[in-house]
Amino acid sequence: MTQRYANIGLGLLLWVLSAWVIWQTTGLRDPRTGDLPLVLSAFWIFSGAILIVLNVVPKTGRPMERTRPFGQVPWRRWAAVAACLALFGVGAVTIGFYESAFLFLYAVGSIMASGRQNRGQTVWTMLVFALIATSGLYLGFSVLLGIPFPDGILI
Amino acid sequence: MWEGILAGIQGVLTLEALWVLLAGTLAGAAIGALPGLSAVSAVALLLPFTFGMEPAHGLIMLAAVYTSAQYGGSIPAILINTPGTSGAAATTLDGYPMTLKGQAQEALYLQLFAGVIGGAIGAVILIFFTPVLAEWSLLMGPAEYFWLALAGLAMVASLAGKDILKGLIGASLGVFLTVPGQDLITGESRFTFDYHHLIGGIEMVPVLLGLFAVASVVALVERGDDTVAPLTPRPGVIRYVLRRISRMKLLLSWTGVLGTLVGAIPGAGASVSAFVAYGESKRISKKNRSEFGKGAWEGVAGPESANNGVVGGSIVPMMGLGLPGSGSAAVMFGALTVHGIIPGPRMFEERADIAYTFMVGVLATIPIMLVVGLLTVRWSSLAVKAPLRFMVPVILSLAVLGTFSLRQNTFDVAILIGIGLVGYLLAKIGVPPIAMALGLVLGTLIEQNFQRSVIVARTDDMGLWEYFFSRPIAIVLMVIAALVLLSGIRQVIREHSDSRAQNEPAGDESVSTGDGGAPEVVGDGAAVGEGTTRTREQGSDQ
Repeated sequence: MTQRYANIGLGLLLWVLSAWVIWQTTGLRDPRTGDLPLVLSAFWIFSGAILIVLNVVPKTGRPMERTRPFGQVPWRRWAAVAACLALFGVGAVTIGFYESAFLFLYAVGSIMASGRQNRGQTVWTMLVFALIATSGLYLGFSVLLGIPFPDGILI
Repeated sequence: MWEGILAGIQGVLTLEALWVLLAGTLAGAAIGALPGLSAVSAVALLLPFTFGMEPAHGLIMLAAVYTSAQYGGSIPAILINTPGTSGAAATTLDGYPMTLKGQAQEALYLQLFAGVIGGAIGAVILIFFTPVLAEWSLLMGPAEYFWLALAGLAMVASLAGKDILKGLIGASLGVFLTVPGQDLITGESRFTFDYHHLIGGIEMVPVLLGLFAVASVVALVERGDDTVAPLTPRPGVIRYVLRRISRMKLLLSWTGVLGTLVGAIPGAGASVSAFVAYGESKRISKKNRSEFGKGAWEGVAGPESANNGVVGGSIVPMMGLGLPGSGSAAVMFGALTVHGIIPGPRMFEERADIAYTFMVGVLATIPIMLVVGLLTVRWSSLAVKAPLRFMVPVILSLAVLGTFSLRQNTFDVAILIGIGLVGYLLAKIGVPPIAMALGLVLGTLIEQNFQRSVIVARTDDMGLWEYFFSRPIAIVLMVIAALVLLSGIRQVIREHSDSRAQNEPAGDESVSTGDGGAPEVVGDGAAVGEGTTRTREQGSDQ
């Protein structure tokens, strides 16, 4: 995706967001409650229009095609880390914070180290790292700062 | 006054007081540096430890914690583009680019010395000018707050990132995040979808952590098994930094005073003062204005001086009027009342010894913070050499646990992750996360004070604009907001004309950037890489 189409996409997204916000404010009892959302909607319609026009018009839009904002992103690795992050959130309420932190640290560290040659050593290194880091988090948050976390299956 | 100051100095120069100062400084800096745990959290977490102490010592400890937490919050801002406190957000704009250029140590020493200078200025103003400043802060009404917040937003929109339109879009999206919840004037719920977690609104810390910690660190995933940044240790780095700072005397003094004055406005906050200071630093630094956003030293020094000057300033309304000017000041207000002391003008008559011991304690923290900083900078800068396979999961885990520690609420964790991923994607296409963050911080201030202005104008039988133009401070702030916006628009037009003039003769289509300018490392997008430069043949995703 080029910067040009990303800008057009952002402009359209702002229009959709404005329409949704305007629709939501129609259900409010007091008109003053909807003032800020409506002002924001108006700004998004205006700024969305500027973005779309500037990028559709060839003279100003064509230079934007030379840039690809997502061109360098390793999507597989990125998606794996994002999925681990989402699962960390889910795991925190199901199996426990520190348990899911351990799994998260191991998984993401392994994903980041996936290009390394000695896989066996990497597995052990990441296991040890996850254990030490989880212990450090436990010591810092639960022991020293005394912040209560929900009970997990182990801690 | 002088007897009170002498009593304060005597109160601070005892062995017990010095131990308490040292402990508070170390704890405050460490907690402030943790993403998710702000200066308020640091003060609140350590408050129970002060109950068993003498009132003066308890207050000295809290003063030390508050001061050093503001300093500590800038360390991760510089090293990993993640401010530990909201006041350090402006530091990311040039602090992180300095790290990426291998100047992490220089940036940390610069931050330390600038913070010491700003903090000292704030503490001195606090000691000598509290009554005067307290009266001044009373002049701020709804109109002034409204235009101050708009001026702050205009500044961040035009200073952060390359495109003022996208900066304003980011700011407006941040303001929108303050919409869900109960309207504080009308009491009606909006955009809550009957979900009880949204009735109180979206918490600020998960959003800030998402925009900075998660978005920045997720961007580091692109680099695979690398390190955060190179580190080029320079022999004699302290002398080098001091030499360069000696050329910024005017800048540091002015931004320190500015930070203190803005901090004295109840509710204005460290983030507003840091951005105002950033704008001023850019204005003052005529010779290297183009370097801002790419690792300009003034872009770190100015905000840091203001960020630490805010400490003294925010205590002014608490001591002078009995009105806590910030969250941390509110916690200290609570600490004083626990010890049977009511802050306010009468405190100077009835318990002047405690009042001045507390204020002198703020000043006494500064040299201790300097020593602690000098001893730890070399070690903390080594963090940038840690492999990303260790750094990325640790920082993300800290962000999640830090977010949960706020309210023990998993909804906040969901906000953190969601906003983090969306913030990353928006930053990639040029919407600066820092603009969104400031929009969130200032959104409530803008809306509430706009509504209050309408009410006041109606009560005084005036039109809204008539009311705005009847307030001199509001007029000044209006003009500042307009000038900042116009300056940002003019900058964009100038850059656009320059790039068209450069591109027209060669017409080179193989290498270019999004807006025709040279590739830039922008403070808030440095790790994200807004507008990646590619050749047409290399466009495939991995």
